[in-house]
Amino acid sequence: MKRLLLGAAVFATCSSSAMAATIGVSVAYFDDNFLTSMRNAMQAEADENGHDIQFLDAQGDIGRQLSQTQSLAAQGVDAIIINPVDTAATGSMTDVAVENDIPLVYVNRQPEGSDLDNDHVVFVGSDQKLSGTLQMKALAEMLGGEGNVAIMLGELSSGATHQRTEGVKEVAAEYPDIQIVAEQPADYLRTEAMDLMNNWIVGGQEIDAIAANNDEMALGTLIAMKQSGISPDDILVGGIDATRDALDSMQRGELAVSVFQDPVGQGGGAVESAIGLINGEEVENIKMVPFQLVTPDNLEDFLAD
Amino acid sequence: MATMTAEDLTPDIADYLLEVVNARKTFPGVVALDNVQLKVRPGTVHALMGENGAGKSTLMKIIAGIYIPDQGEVRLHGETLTLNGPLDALEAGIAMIHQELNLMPFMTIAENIWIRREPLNTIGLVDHQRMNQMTEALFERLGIDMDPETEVRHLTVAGRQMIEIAKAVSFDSDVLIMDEPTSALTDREVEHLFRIINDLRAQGKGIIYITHKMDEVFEIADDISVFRDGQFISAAPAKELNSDKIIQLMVGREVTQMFPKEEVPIGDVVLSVKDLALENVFENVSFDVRAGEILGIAGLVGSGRTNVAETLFGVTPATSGSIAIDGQETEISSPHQAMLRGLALLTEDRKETGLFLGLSVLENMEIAVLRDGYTKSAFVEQRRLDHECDGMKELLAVKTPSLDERIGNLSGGNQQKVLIGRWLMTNPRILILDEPTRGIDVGAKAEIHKLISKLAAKGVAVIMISSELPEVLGMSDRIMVMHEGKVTGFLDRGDANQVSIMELASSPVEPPVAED
Amino acid sequence: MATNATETPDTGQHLEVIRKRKRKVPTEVSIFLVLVGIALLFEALGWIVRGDSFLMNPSRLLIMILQMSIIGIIAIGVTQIIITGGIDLSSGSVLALTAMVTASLAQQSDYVRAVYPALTDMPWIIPLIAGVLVGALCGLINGALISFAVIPPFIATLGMMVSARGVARAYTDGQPVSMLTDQFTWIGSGANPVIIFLAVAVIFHIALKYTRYGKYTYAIGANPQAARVSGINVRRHLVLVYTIGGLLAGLAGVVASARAGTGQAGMGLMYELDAIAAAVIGGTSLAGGVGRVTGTVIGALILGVMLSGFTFLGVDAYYQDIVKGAIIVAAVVVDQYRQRRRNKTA
Repeated sequence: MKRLLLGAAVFATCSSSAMAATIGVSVAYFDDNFLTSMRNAMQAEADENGHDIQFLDAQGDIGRQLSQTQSLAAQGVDAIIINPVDTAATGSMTDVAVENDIPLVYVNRQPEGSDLDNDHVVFVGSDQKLSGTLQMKALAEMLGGEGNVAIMLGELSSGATHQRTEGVKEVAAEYPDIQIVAEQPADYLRTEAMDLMNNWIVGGQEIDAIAANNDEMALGTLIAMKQSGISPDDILVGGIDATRDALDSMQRGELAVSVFQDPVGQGGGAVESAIGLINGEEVENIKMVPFQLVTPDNLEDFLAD
Repeated sequence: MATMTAEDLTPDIADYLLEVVNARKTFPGVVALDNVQLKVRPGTVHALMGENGAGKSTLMKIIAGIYIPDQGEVRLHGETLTLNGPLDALEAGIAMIHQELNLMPFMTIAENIWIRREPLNTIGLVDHQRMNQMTEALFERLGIDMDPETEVRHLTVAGRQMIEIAKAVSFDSDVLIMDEPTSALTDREVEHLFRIINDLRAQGKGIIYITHKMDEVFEIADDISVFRDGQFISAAPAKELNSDKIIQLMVGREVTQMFPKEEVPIGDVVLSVKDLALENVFENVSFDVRAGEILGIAGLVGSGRTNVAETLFGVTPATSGSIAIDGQETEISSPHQAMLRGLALLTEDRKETGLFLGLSVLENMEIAVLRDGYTKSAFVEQRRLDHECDGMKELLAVKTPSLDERIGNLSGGNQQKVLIGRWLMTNPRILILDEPTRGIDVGAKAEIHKLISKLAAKGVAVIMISSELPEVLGMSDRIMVMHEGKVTGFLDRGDANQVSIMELASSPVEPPVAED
Repeated sequence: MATNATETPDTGQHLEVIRKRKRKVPTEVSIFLVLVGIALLFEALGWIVRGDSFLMNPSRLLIMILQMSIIGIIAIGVTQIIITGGIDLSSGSVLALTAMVTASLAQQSDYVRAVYPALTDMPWIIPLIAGVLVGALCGLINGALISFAVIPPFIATLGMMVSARGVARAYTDGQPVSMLTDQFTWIGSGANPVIIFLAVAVIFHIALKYTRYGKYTYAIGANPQAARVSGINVRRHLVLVYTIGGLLAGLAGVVASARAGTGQAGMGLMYELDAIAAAVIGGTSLAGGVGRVTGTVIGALILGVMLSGFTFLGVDAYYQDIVKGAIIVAAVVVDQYRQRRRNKTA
């Protein structure tokens, strides 16, 4: 609650600044932890430079996101940042921005169409497939190149789920002694992952490693294992996102691998690009923020912040 | 032992308009109709009489094509009909006016009458002007004075009933079925209905008329068929029967005393009401009721009788005036408060405000005493309650396989007995009965009357509201008559008769005479 | 004629006897048979597809209940609300809110980012009580809106569903609340959620059947006007019913946060619909007046068996949702059929 008040106070001081540009942001989900970190990074970046920034929650609904884009355009913001709900359906939102001559930055999830061919439409984010690749490479090495791997999928409707999984599978295919033995969704949620892992455990299938599409599911998997008395050394668990909870878990010796997707790099970068576009500067059309593999070896670097 | 058959009906008229032969209909576990026949002559009103559950409604639904009989046939003008639905019957020339009204409230009168038969103009749109003219023509024929463009939701129940009748007439059917058409009508409206019926009769139509009201039957019917327990009992011209005979045929036994009013000593004033009013509904209502006394309240539908009862019981708390119990002025702002002060109210509309249809007999009976008795901490003392309810069931002779039976499966009379049982369990000192015998059969009626008398004899102060004048006259020590929200007079048992009550009930001229 | 009439036996009695003889099977028994049928189907498919038994595995049997425990606790609260003829759409969001509040009061002291650094390492009972109270408060607001502002339950709880989720997010700006004490997470560990679920089920089974509270609940659902005229304070009772519904959603939030070791604003998404589904599959009628806790428990188990069964067979989640939807619709069709039959005999 204190934070909320603080936020309001910051917002009040910002809006009094006359020189400020106004940036409207539509985020796919407010509930998502990674996107929340990214949102906070955007807020921080905007605050630092004295710009107004307004966040809208698309609640995973592409129709809602389009109307939000339209109302932001009608409101006359100086730039729009969109974290798309569906990477295949960004065309109409791009049209709205182009028609109204408003710079548009896509963040975190890259549009699949020709959106970025337009002037003043850019992308800031990371290659989701790469995160899967990094995760599986580390797990494969830890397994010594052999074993049974189960993939815990995020929401099936999300593009990141498919891209991350694709990365995992490509790496696994390079190792003849690594088998993908199961592949089922737990919707990026901790509790769902606990239930799925419980069912896998009683299923009796031999599993040596779990490649989860995000950290929350990896943490749920670890809780389920703990309650069944399975040591994290017997089944290696890998996540993606390097969230705070995940790093804590790794520190306790539970989580084997995570992949740091840089929310500050993406969020801050997106605001930076937006301001660049507003000021008519040259801005990179596709700005890739690199992923970083997190293992117990380099954990210290990430715990610092 | 020779049973009268339909053949006994004026055999010289060979051509029956409508015949039902050997109809049989079963529902899972119940034989609703067996070997039933009906012969309706053209240009007559044929009344169907019988207790609830006798099979009248089932027979009507077969004729109207709603039920398909397991056996037997329906003939119109001597030709056998194949009825697979209400539409078939309508097309063949049989129209039914349902007891429950089936009008669409947000459509106009005209739209309701001509629905699915709307006159169209050249480009295929509904020609409202012509539709309204057609309605006016129809109304003129029937002597109805209503604007065809009024939305049905603005009409009274009686008005809706008239529209249903007009709609049925508009099909120009040969046979019209009316299921208790007068149950919601005032006397004046009944008169109007009878004029319409006489008119239709003169045109050679056959009217099948279901009713419980004996006086109506003799006023309007030419022939009468009596049913009992799904069986055809007898048919005869109305002039050969009288009400005693009909009742005997209906119940299968002689009902010795219809109104077994006992003369009991009248005690002290228990309830005293002064200048009670509910804004815009009734005003200046003052009366006393004594222990052992039965005060009848008479008046037309809409006179405010039911509202007075509901106000006394705290359902709609009074806006002014005072209520005193045992001389102690008291406030009643909720039914629970009323119950604490010793009141009980058997409501007018059994289904709407009385029964929990989906629940068991037990659950219906015990509900009013849970709050102030039969509970230990939070738990209900079920065993004690079961015992009490069982005793009440015996006392009231409720016919039910067990207390766990769903109350919806009981007949109307037995449902009413359960509701009376609910209130007797609260040991009321003032019992208000609103239409205690509406829609229940003759046998159960007499039992309920006997019970009311017994309660009065025990010193309960009874207020009984009824639309049936014989009931009010037969049961009451005193009668209060209301008209349009005002008390128009009091009559003592000795002075009251149908005429004196109707005079007070239909004219506001008499100044209210509060006498004791 | 008269003699004939008097000699005819009173066949009215006879009709009632016929009716009595065809006593129906209680609803719960038929739902239980459905549960057994589904389980046996998976058993058969298990041998065919995987050459392994589905049911002969005690851990799996426990998991089937475990994964439905949290929804099951909500479903019991929802069942009594549906019996009154109402509905509660807010339970999933209330779960999220209570999980956030509860978790924020159950954090470890060595965690530097605690929401309330001064209130860490508290005994487990404090977050538990706080969560249950927050849930009850949400329910109280629902009940007051429905009873006193006379807003339809669908709308009132829809409002609460949206608002409670919003408060859950605002509580920590959407940040998860983690690092909970061991004694608190013990509440949600192992089979404890199952025990809590079954305890709640037993309590409410008794409450609905043997107490005034239960009898009034059914009466109001069967006919609110008749209930009022029978001296029941309908408004007050409805407020109580919704408050208890909220309280159970709050308890579910406590168990969920203890189980996952975290409080997150995105928890419990769509749980309200699963809870309603469990109640409806279990034979609770949306028309009110009808429903049993035992039915709801079996309804939740049906959902749990399906979840485990599909995972066991390795079937995609898509198909699982299709079948789940079909079962919910089938349950409502059966309910409608029962209602029609009821009305016919009435």
